[in-house]
Amino acid sequence: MANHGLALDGIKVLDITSGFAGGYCTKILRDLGAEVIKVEIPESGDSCRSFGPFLNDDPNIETSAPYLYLNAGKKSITLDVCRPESRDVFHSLCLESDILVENYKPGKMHQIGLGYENLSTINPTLIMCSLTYFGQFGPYSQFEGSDIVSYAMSGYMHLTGDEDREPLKAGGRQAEYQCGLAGSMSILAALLNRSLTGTGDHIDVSATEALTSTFDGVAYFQTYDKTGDNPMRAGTRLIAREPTGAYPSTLLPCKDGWVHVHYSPSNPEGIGFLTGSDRLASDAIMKRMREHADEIDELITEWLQNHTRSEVQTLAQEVRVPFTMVQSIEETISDPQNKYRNYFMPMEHEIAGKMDYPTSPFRLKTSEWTPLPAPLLGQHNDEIYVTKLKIDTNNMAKMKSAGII
Amino acid sequence: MKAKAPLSGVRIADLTNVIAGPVATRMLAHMGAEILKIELPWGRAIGNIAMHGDDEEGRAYNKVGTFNEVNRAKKSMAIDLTHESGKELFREIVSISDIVIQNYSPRVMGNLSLDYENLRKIKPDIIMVSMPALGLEGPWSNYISFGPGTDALGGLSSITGYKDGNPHKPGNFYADHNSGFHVATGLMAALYHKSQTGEGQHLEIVLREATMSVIGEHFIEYQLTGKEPKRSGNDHQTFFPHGIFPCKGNDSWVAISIESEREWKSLCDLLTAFDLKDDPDLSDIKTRRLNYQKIESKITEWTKKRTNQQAMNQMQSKGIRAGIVAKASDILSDKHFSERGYLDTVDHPDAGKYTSPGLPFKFSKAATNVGVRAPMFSEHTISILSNLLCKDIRTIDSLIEKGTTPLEPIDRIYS
Repeated sequence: MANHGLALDGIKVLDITSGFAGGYCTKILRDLGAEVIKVEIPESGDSCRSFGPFLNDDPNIETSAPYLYLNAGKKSITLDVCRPESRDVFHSLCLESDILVENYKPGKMHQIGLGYENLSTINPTLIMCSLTYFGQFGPYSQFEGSDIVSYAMSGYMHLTGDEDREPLKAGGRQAEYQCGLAGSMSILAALLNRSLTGTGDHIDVSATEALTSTFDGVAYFQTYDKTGDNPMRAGTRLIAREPTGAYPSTLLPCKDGWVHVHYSPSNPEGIGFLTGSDRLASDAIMKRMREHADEIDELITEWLQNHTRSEVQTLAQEVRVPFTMVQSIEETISDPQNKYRNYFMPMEHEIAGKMDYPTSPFRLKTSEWTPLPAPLLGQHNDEIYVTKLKIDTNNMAKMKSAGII
Repeated sequence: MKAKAPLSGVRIADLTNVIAGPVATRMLAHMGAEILKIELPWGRAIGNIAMHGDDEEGRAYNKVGTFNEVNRAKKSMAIDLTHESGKELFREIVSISDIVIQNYSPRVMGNLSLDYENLRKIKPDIIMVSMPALGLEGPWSNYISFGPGTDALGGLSSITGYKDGNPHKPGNFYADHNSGFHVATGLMAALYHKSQTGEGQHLEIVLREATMSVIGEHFIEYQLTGKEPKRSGNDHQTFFPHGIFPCKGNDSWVAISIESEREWKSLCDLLTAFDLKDDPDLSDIKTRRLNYQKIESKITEWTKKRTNQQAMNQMQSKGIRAGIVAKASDILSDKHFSERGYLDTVDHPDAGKYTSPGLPFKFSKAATNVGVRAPMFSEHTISILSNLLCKDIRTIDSLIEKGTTPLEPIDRIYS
């Protein structure tokens, strides 16, 4: 495949965030071709370095899973941006950058003299993106947040889990990832806007709003407006409950695990055909599917019991029925489709060793993603400070002993 | 002068259906792009999810709630692509568009002779987006899956669930929205590339790969530790206490995450649980985890006496990370969302007034295009034919009459 250069070739990103949201935001920009310089606190670095799990469960800031994943291909320099002595260096970095991403609590950047109003006088074309749990203004802007708090307040948690049990958080850190994703989306819009107007922008992203934006809100809001009742979580089924609604869409057990079973509107009789159940293809069920959800589950489960996940998927897909396996993390890494597409690629990290990393969710057909491992803490100090910013070695030593870098 | 939105002047021919694709173009519409939504002649494939109004009488196809949410600020034109006259019309639309986006299974665009190579012959710098479920190539490329099915195949279901419980899934259509947001992001990168180099391209974003991308650290965790990540309910591997606690009222909860010693002490002070604070059995996270029952019962005793709003406010006033498990009614009446102007309420001639989630970000300078309803079926067919494709009235009448561009849904004939 010819490499014409990635989409964001030449774009420079300065990332002073800590944690998952900022990490994912600039991971996407890096995946799309931007150069990302991660500015980390001296000694301890990004908080993702201390979360773990670690190689052999042995805590080490260079072998933390989330850091290794989110920061592949970025450059790392150390700088304590909150110290006034770091101001000049930070300003020089901003002058060299197109994009600045930060996730301090609202007001903090202003308080340390790094508010957008200051930075934009130094670099009027700078795009500054602020990632927080609740946004830069509003009654909750000074609230303390976390992934589960945003997941709860977004409305998602009430709708995840079983009806007769407590609400459930999704696996991983979806509020923080969505915050990062919304950040990268807004940054690209601001970049296009800059091409039109020549000026930068300041973007306010809220993790809570980012997650709320990923649910089919109108269905829930409307149900409440219409009935005065809040829609309720529905286990692994879809929440819409009209008796005539399409069904199934749920997880069911088979011989060796679980599968996702789903109705296909373009192949309405497919499930009856697959399972050999006349009842499933009968008018009585087809006309009021959701009302018969329990019976449909039972009839499909009868058939599933005789088949493994892999058999279920192959047999169903052969007749255009959208059943898929529930795969473990281990199985997902090595399944035939991911292998064929090289979605996971091996990378060698100096300390963590060789592993298969998820690559990029973007396949731009004119260019290829470059596998490069996550940086060691401060690995690029010399490259950026000495070679690029021409800071002399005496000054470097002074800043180092003062704990600024 | 009013500022222009970042994508003003960008035109997108949008063949996507259901949720993931429409979510992507909704975001681009909010950024100012002109979206020509090419609808199927037999109406809206999304089914009857969340109908507006109590019945389906009278133009029910315009009252599909989820459709109206994910298609805000777009233009609608219905074209029958199974007919040569429809394909020809679509090719004309391609010639005046910057982007073609579609989420059909991989064979379809090829069968319609509308694959990237063909589109490029019409417009050399076209950007085309494909968003298949599992990939354009590979042994599973022709498999069909909707968003929730990719939660399963991508590992998200396996790490979501109650502790020691079965695999689960987040909300309704998380994977679809997630991939839609990735597509909007990738598309703007491709547009930027085009603005710098003049080059178009074919961009592929796979539904399942977008899901795997937002749980990426688990694949590394497995390889680092040799252990399969476990379903852990609302627990956190590092922080404790971490989870939700019942409050006054039915199905009413507050979420809490204690992430430092300072926060732990504040929590003990707030609960006036001095016995917890000074308990030698609870001196660090490890011992607290072992003695979780003692802690949980103290917190629950306190939260049960309060509404979840009260619990959240009191905890936050002491610097504790806490938030209500919000229901639809909480979000609709939330003073924070309303002060931030987050929700997007629009008025629709057939569906009436409806409220949807708005934009997850705010610019200080760039303009955005929100507060605009979804189009009615085929609402812009005539204006697109006449203003963009410069067709005369006779041609337009004949296209409508032939059923190439129906103004109302026609009965679907399954062949």
